[in-house]
Amino acid sequence: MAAPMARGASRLSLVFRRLLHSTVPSRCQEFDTKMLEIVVCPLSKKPLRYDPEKNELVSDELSVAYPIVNGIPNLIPEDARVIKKPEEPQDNGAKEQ
Amino acid sequence: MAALRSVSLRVGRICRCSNRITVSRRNLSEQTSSDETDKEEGTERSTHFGFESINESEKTGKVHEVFSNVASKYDIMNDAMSLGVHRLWKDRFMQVLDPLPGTRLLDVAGGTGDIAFRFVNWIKQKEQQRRKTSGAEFRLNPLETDESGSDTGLPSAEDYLYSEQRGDLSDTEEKKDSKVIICDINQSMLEVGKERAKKLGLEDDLVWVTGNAEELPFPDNSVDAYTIAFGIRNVTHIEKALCEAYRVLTPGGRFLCLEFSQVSNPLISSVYDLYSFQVIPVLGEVIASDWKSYQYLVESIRRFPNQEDFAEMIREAGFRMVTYDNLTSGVAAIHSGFKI
Repeated sequence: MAAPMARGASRLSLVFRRLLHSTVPSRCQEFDTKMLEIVVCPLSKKPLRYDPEKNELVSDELSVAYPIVNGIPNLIPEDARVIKKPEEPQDNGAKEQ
Repeated sequence: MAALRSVSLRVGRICRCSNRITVSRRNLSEQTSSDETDKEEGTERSTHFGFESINESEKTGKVHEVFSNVASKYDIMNDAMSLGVHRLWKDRFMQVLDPLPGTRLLDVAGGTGDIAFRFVNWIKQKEQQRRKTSGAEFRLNPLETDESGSDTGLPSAEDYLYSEQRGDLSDTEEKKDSKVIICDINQSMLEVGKERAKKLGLEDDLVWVTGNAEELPFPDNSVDAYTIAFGIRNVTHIEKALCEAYRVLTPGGRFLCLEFSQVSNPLISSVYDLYSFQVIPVLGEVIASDWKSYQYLVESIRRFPNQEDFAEMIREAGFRMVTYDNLTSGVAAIHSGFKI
């Protein structure tokens, strides 16, 4: 009695996992960081840095970021995002000794 | 004197390519403002989109739209339009390339993976053949003697020499792994290819990158072979794509292009034209519900340079030993060149 139930539960779990993976948004596909050895910025031809938070490949030299879609890096210059540099905080006067 | 002239010609070609790349980077960063200025002045350059004349800046987007529309039905349509002959062309293409294990291949405009899959299977077959051959070499019957008269049954010095030449004694050395990168400007085409690769169990062997053939996101001298099959006629600036191909290839690397070309036989040409313009767009409408995209595809074939003109463009980019072979009386052609 226990064995068929266990098998049934196992099959149900497998079906559920397949369903879950098929409905997971495709942008969540992981980016293989080994690709950093293969690709470069199409404009500067220099290496890129992976930003896992934004899921982008960043060219620090040019301050542009290329999106990664479904685990595939989109390295078309027109699709890159220009990174706005944060404004530097202004000094409130010189420090007095 | 002749050697100096040859070197200076080669440098000249490379400089032309470098200048094109430099100008292209500057232009892309200023593209928005310059396009607006040109439009105001009415001086924007035009190019062909099939038989239509459009602004250069529009072509990439329109081609992108065509392939986004056809991506899901691309492979079925190829079979229907060519009655499966495209498979034979691609098989022949791989035979001509004849890659060895350890080759790093960049397949441009390779969206749905036809060339990449053939490359992976070719390499696997070669590796299997090599293993079989190296295994049999050392399986000597102890009672038999080799030609030198040795009766030990152990491999002779000659056997080792032969094996080293073949690369079998490289277990202790670092082997260069074969690699294939598929680059396409259209994400939809790559996603179709990725799904196909998954079904064929090849997903671990392939790298997928969205990129523009005119501005490749790969370092200089990083690939041993560059292939482009039925893609280069869709590129807005073919000469830029050829320069980029030259840049990313290692010295000695090979450029190989499979593309529709021109049929010189007038009888075959008229039958081909009839089929192209009367049948293919109808197939496009019936199978893919997209007459216009297939009308474009047929027209774009007619706008592409003929065999000799395209060979000259490849030479202009710096390649040498440029040759071409016609397939099916020139309906398609394979162009080859080397970076030497």
